[in-house]
Amino acid sequence: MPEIKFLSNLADITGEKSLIIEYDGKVSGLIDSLDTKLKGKNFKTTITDDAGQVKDFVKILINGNDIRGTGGLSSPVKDDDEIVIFQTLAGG
Amino acid sequence: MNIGYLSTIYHTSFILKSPDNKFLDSIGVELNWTLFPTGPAMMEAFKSGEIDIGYIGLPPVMIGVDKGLKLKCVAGGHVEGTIMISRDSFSSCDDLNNLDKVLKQFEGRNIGTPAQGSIHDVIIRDLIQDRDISIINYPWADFIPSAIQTGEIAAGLGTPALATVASREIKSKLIIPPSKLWPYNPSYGIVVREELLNQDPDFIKNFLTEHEAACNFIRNQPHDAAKVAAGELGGIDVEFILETFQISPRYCASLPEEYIRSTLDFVPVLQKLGYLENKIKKEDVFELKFIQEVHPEPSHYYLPSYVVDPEN
Repeated sequence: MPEIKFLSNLADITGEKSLIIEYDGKVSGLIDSLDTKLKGKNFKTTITDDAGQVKDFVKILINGNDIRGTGGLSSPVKDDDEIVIFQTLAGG
Repeated sequence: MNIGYLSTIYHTSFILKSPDNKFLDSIGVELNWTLFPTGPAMMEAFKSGEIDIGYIGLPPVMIGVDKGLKLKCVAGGHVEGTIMISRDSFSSCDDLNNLDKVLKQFEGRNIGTPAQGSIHDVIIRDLIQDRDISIINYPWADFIPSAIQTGEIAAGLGTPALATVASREIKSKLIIPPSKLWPYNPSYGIVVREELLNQDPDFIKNFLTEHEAACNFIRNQPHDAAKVAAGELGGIDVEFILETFQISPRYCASLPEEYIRSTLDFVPVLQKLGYLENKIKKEDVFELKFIQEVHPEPSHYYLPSYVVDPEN
């Protein structure tokens, strides 16, 4: 099962630093699954814009790779993937 | 024009790109903004032609110039933008009043910092030479607080925003302030592709005029600027941004001698660390004519943030 880690303010919003959920599919579906699991915490609206795209300052890394370079929301999520979701706040 | 920027909240990018103000309305050029994790990542984008302008610390620029990239820094933006944080159980510079004693606490431990060749990476590698301290580089500075929490690293270097994030996430403290790590270090400047200097000088001048206005906005009206930046970033409160602004309130677009000298002081360090092959000179990196026209008065880097500049 993929492990999802949340950093900084997303850990505050979700109330979780990490979650392991049963999921096999694309990132878009994973976001929906997390939104259902984290009901009432506005997870999806926090990380996506009105057009349904991941907000500029939100990063989703699968095994260290930013999904913007691997197919975006269509990127596949596999059973043993490590996923990190965070908002970039700490600067470059 | 394609502009690369970092998630560093006190850069004027967050003011200029916000639809909540009109700074860039008169520019008359379409601007596309792309976020990068670090300066070295932005240098790759300059190399591939993806961006024309960048908000970036000067050490990665010098490394890029050394490798043949044709770039020029045409303005400053901020100085002293590197801090060191740790768990609050370690003693700080204020506690010990001695940088060597502060660093000695970390012997046999790891310190985290953004990518190799970033200004933060260069500063800490220079400081720990001949010490038993290892460096771990992270693709995003946002990984550093949780790495401190898990014990993977004992301390971390990054921007003042890192200190604010960490203080909210873990029991951390500012252990070395920016002025003690590398005085006047060029935390970021505005860097352009060299062709633009001749192809579009009016654009550069107009952009720098608005960049300077945004620097003044952050320095003179920090609360209003923080509101704009918070709206642009989202998911964070105004206090977070104000707190970050105040850690190192050194905002200005000018390129005074101190900025240039501090930049060139990195050259022997970059050579020693193996990041530079050649000796980089002032004229290899800087083009001063635009900012001298836009900002002829003395720099504002050391004006306290609560002092309103009578010229603005």
